[in-house]
Amino acid sequence: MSEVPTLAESDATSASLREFEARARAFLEEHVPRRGDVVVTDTMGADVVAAEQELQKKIYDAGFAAITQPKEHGGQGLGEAESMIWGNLSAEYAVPRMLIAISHGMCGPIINLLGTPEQKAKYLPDLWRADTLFAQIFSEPGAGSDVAGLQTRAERVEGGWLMNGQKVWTSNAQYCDYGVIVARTNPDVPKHQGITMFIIDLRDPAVTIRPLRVATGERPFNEIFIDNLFIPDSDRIGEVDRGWDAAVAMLRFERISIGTSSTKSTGPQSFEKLAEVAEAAGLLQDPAARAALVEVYVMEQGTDLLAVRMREEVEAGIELGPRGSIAKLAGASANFRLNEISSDIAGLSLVSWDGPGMAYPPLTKAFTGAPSSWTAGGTIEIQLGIVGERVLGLEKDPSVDRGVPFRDIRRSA
Amino acid sequence: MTLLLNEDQRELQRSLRAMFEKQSDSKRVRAVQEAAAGFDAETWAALVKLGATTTLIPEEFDGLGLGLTEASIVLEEAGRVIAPVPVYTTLLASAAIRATGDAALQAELLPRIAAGETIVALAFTEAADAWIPVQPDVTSTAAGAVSGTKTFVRDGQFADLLLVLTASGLVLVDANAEGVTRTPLGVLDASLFATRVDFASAPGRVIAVDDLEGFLTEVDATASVLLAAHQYGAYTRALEITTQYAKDRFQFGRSIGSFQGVKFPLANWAMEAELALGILRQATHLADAGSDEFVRAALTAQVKLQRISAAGAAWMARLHGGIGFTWEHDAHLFIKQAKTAQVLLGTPGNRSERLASALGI
Repeated sequence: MSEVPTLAESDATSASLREFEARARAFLEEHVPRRGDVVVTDTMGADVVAAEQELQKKIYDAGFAAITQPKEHGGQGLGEAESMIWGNLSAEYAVPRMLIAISHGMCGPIINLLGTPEQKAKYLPDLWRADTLFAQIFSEPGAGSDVAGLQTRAERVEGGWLMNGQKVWTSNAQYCDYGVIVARTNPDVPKHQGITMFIIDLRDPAVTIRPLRVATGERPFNEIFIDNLFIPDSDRIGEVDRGWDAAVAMLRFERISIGTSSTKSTGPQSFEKLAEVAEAAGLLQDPAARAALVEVYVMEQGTDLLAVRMREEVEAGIELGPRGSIAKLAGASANFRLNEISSDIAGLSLVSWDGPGMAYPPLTKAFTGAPSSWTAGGTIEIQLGIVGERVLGLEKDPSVDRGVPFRDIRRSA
Repeated sequence: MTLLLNEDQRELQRSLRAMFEKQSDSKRVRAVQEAAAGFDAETWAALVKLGATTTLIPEEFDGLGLGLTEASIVLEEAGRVIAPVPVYTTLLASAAIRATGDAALQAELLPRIAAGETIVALAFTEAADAWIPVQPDVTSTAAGAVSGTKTFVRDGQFADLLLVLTASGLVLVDANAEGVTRTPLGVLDASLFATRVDFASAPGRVIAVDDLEGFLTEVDATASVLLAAHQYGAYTRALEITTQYAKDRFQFGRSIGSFQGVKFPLANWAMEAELALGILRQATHLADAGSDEFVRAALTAQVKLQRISAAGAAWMARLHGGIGFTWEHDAHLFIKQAKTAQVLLGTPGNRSERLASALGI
């Protein structure tokens, strides 16, 4: 074999990466339980939130949160490579995930990117330390894939803005202190040009948060009703009517954090777990079940190794660019296919069990929860468009609403 | 672990791509088919000169002494242009000869293969379900006399020597010996050649292999990866051609790639290509690292490419519309290549079951 070292090996930074890795490994081993040793619940109660918040503070104090964020506002000032190392190592441990995914993965980065010095000083240190939690508040009942079609209004008033409208799909808003929200500030211009981003105080009485029950029976998201909420102009992020660019930047952070989060499949729909389910159901000799299990294994290897390869590219200093979105697309597509074939593998045991009706076994729960992964962070169709246009360079779909003032655009009744 | 190519490997990839682009576009396949006179000797000579056919032959036997990753690169590049050359056969035969563990055999054959003087073909296949029969019907005597019929012997008509799998083990037979009758088969994929070989007490030399099952498992795994690499090359090239067409072809006043009905299949195709590449690199990496997980990874690569590559070629024709159905366009060459490759080593059912066993289910 060739003696030429890889980029990462020859790079002087690799020594500090190894040191970081060793430190992270030691910290995790000492302070965080292994993932398999704790019961994971998707719906977080207040007690779980409090415990995770405590653990997150410890992680922050040890230097493993806000890894890529600038030091002056409380970040670590390190690179993507360190972030990936932490992501991979911590995948095996019960570190807080849902709690900070949005605060740290989206809200913090956008404030860092577009916030005023006052906003950064006021919000970021507490945010990175998980002393305060932030929600992302974009989607509306009438604005899903077309977020720019949002209808929540913010009108200028003395000293700031008055907001009215309805938002939805806001994760964990009931535990959050603040939200990063986009609202329409000018309906007389085309849709992308009349949106502004704000930070809002979720404890304000003008904000009503109502849990939204989903197909699993759980309530992981919220609807938010905003009724005459006053927002000081000092809580506006970026320029007036330039909120769309800010939202796009923020969604890009989301795709990065989803696409690079894990390189090992371990859930109830992993090959290993599904093989156990097939065995328990007595289906290991069934030809369709065997073929489906092989398909699951091949899909899993595909998505796991794609994540490994992309991580290695980042570590070698290769710019991933929009190709990163392929990882997100692949994960969601695999998940969609998994739902199709999990019945081949589990048979009746997917749909029936000993015990109460709503006490779904892990595979059944994953099955009912799967549509979330086909949708969150952009539907599969939206992802396909991104890959087609930004990776392959195909022409964009022509938009019928381009150049049309927002108030004249057709919308659902 | 690394799934990325190193600088030497990228250089090999670049020089092969340049050679193939200069030497062997689809005109070669067409020319070979029209002439019906055997493989593309010029491209083959260029490959031999580059040493690309010797990546799996140790340096002591005049090869480049590289690994399966480099062999994979060679087949990927050959697959991109559907090159009608016996490179798969040669790389696989080199690996098989090494896997026998027979030092004298290696010393005798590998330098000749490296020099491009000798082609050794594997005569294993007897039926349509899998390229390696579990119970071969072809027999051989203790003295090495072979009787029976082998089919789909890749490049059998050009071979100087045949490595035959019989009910008793391996026998090396001179392809021109008395008692050997070679009949070229009709093939859908004009870039490959296959032969039926009838043996009537043909004289051969018994090649003793200590662990025949282990030998066959390794050869099967190597074949799985080499074929997967070839499939991957054709799959990605077909994607590139079709993507370009989707940008250049205008209907309804738009490039057709702006329609989701065209854009989405292409995006899925690009995604599948990325997924396949990781699996392929993992398999060759494990082989070169001497890992015992190689067999599983190799079968995974084959199942993955078997699952997607024919579909890719079909989409090539579908998204090209009418032009994609013409003889002049390359789409049918990709379809014929991919559909053939899909069943070369075994039916999807056979490959899937092989992997299932390797996974212990």
